[in-house]
Amino acid sequence: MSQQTVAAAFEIFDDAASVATAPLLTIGVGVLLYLVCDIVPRLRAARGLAFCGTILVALFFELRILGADVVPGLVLDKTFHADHTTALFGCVFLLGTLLAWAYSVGYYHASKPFKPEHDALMLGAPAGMMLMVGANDLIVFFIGLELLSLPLYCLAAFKRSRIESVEAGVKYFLLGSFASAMLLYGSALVYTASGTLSIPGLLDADLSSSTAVAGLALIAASLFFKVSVFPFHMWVPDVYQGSPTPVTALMATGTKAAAFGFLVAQVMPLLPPSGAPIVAVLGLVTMALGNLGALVQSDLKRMLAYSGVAHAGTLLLVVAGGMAGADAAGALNATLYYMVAYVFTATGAFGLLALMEADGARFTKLDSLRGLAKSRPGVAGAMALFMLSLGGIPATGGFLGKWFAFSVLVDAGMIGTAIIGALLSVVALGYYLRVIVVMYMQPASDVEPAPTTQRPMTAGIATIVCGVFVLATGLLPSLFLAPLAG
Amino acid sequence: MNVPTEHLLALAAILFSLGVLGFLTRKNLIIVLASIELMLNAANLTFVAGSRAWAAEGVTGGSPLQGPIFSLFVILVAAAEAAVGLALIIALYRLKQSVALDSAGELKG
Amino acid sequence: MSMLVWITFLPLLGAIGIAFLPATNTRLLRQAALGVTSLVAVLGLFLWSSFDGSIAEPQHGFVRDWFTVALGAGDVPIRFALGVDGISILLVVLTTILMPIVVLSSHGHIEHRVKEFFVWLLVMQAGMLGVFLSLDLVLFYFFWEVSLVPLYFIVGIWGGERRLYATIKFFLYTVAGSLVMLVGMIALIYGLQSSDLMDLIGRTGELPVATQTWIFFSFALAFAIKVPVLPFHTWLADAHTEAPTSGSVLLAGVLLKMGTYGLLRFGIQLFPGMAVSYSSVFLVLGALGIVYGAFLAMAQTDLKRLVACSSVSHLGFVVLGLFALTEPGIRGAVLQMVNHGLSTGLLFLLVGMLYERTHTRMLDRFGGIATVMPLYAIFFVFTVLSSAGLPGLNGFVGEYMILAGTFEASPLWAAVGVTGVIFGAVYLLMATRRVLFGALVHDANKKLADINAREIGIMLPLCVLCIWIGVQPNTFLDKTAGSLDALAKRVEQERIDQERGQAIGRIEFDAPSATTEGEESR
Repeated sequence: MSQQTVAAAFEIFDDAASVATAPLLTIGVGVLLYLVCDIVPRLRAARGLAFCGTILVALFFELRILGADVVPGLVLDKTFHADHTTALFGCVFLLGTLLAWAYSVGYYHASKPFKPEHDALMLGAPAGMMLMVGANDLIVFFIGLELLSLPLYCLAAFKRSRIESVEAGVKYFLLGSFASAMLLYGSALVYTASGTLSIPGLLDADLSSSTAVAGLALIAASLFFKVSVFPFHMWVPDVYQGSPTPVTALMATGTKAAAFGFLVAQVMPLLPPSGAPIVAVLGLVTMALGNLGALVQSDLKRMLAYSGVAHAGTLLLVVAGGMAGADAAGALNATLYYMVAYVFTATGAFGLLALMEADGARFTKLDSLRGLAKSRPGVAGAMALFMLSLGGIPATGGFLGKWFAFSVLVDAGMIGTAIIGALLSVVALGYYLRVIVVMYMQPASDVEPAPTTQRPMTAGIATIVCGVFVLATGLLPSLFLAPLAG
Repeated sequence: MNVPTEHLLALAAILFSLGVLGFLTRKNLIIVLASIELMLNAANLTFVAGSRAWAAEGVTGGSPLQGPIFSLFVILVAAAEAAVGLALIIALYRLKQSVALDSAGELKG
Repeated sequence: MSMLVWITFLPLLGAIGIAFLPATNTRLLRQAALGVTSLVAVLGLFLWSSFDGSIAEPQHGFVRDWFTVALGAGDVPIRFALGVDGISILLVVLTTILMPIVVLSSHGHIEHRVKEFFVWLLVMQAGMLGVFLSLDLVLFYFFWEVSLVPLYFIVGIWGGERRLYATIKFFLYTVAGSLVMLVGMIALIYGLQSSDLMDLIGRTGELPVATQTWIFFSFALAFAIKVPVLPFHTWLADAHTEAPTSGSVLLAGVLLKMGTYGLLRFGIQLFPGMAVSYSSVFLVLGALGIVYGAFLAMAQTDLKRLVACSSVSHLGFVVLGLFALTEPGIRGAVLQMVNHGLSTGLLFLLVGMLYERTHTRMLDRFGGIATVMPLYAIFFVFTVLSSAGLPGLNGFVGEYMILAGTFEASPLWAAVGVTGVIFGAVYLLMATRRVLFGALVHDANKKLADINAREIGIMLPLCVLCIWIGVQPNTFLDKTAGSLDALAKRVEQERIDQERGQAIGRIEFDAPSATTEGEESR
């Protein structure tokens, strides 16, 4: 019996499965390697190398899937899916993590001794994201979610001496595990109703019983919590503001991208077209609340948090479009493109805030950017670029993301929704432009002199990378669309 | 003794509701954590009950173990969650000398 | 590579180059900016001379694949397509010629952050030229929005006291319009599976009438805000008033023309059926704009605001002429776009020169300026006359053609337009009297220096063009003849078809809504 089981396990883990899971396994091995480097005194200098090396090797494996004509497809007893889309998502997650890490270098002055633990936790996060996007089974998705969330709970509270950071961690943990519990109970209900948790199985199953509907509703609610959609968005500003800024960058981009990736790539076919109007309304309300919330903030981290809520609303509109009958591949590509642009833009924006914080006091108030164009033109220019991209002005990735998102809506025939969404994004420009106004059009405040300390070089490189990607997604979309066409 | 599946599901539903109720109303962070555990266990019970019912009909390939295996995963993750959660609560206690929910600002359930 | 690519991207290259020059060496920066813009202007003149006005189709085409969108029924190639035809040639050349003048005019008032100013100025030029030259919808939208950003910075950094309010208002107004247009544009692209402008022209009739209508209005809204047509004009007064002189010149000279150009290109050329159906809406708005703008201008006490309001009035003429949908009307409107750019540009330059000397724009702070600044007075009077439409100068030709064209279509609105000409003369001459003539009451004004050689040099080319258009308009009209004749014929055909369609619908089939413009035009 046991020998048979072992043999079966090897049978399941065939060549395709090894190709599909190679990035995940790399991350797992990499985290262990990193911890070993940390324990052995002579290897400590190689910790950064271990981090970057792990990411790059995983990236190589993702690119291998991306470049291959034959993709692994469904592997491991149809629980995990790997194709060009998930590979592209994986690349984005890995790069996003690398960028967040680059911004975290030199960020924690006070708690330096624990930086290795921070890095090890951060290195584990993309594994969860990749598992989420590729999951074809609700339990696998749950494990991916936890694999991502557990490190993030710890990372959010990583500035242990600061009460707001610990508070953010506790808050994120409580609400996050509440959402996980909802997801699990929802999955359990769906399982009782249909006898399966695999997505292809659920597609065939009859999900009209009240148990199944309740289960799906709970699953949707927990996903909405993760991507911060109305009415589950209240935690976002508090947690984003309290967490260390590099962690916020990862949290804002990674979690959202992974959950939306799963939602659009795997779950969307499950959702009934009749639900599209509700989802569309939720999306519009989320956009409105996010934008109006951001409009009144004076703290940049809070503003970016609300802006993230608004972006989640836009993506939810894409989901609604997909549910209402827009081309599924189109909706997936739109989500992917939007997310790619958002990940690099938001990571860059949060990262620049981290950079300024690391420079001195807590410089995340809008007014602390005054006169930045003069004192630090590079930072101001990059920030302005990111703001324009978040606002969706052409020549940046944000514009094409918005373009694809609206295309899905038009494809689904939801013209009214598209127009309301378009007008709501005008409101968004109101606060993005305000950042530019403060940096470029107002004189430096004489109350607080601009901080001038050493800047870590990694942050500069990360900013350049983000900027290049923001422009590349805006000007050369075929670079990113070509792998998806096949 | 063969407990009908409906009874098990009802019990799980009650457990889940209690958990939600506790999460929303209690102020002590430890109790809130326990409420979350209650919700997770409601899910476990549902998995096991569902698995048994489907196995009887032969849908899960005849294996009554599918649900329990899911439960094992959940228990594993729940343990990790509890570890992280308690660590966070301790960190909060160190700063605030309290494990009351109010000590973490204005938390919105 | 086509000349158009150079014209569009040379400014951008220049901007990148200038970004690497030392910020402190203002002299070098000015020379570099002047050099780049002059080079583009020379290219513009080459384009002008090599452009054949008798051809209706776009010339100097340049097409490259950009990216492909797979949505809806199939793959839609989005292409990087540039081309120039009779609709755009005048505006392109105007933009290239105006730019060196704007650079020169910045001497007096752009003294800090000079490098940034020129970078934005050149980016803006690339954006504006891109708007006029692009023959692909997505590319057009791309340039359309890109050109907003530089003006946002120019007004916001170098503007007057209420610059932040003005610049944000300008940006949000315009973006609101363009995002609605974006939705319409996407619907159009997916409806017809193409984003190639030349391919789409003539195919829009394939869409259902209801779809055509809302797409048409989504485009029209964006352009109406940009022009601005009457209910959307409030941003213009603020933006114009607060912008630095160079910004105002650019705004009046080129940026507003993006709106009227859009109305012509995407309103009339792309949707001739809709333009015919709804022309009366625009005639009313245009005519009201003429009169209302004139009244607004009369009520102003700030000279710059007065000129800004006069823009609303003058652009009302352009809208009137375009939507008269007659050949003289459209040709006059295209010429009037250039005229407005020249005359209003000159007026803003003059206001700027006065402001640099007196640091006020209030009309009651002037009076008797002619006695201390006689040369200035000559230019001022000349510009006012050109703007008011004195025969022999540019304004007359344009307004005459527009009114003649409108009269064919609708005598009533032509009559309203004529009153606008009269009001225009009234407020312009009133302003002239209050600024130049009368007693020199304010002591501070007694020591004003007259305009210098540089200032004359800036204005002279524009004045020459004003006279040239006034005396020999055919030089310019001929270039537009091919495209605009074809356009006018198409619109006329559309009108006949529609009338016949309605008649058929009424008499033979008695089916009121079954006959669509689309079916008839095929």
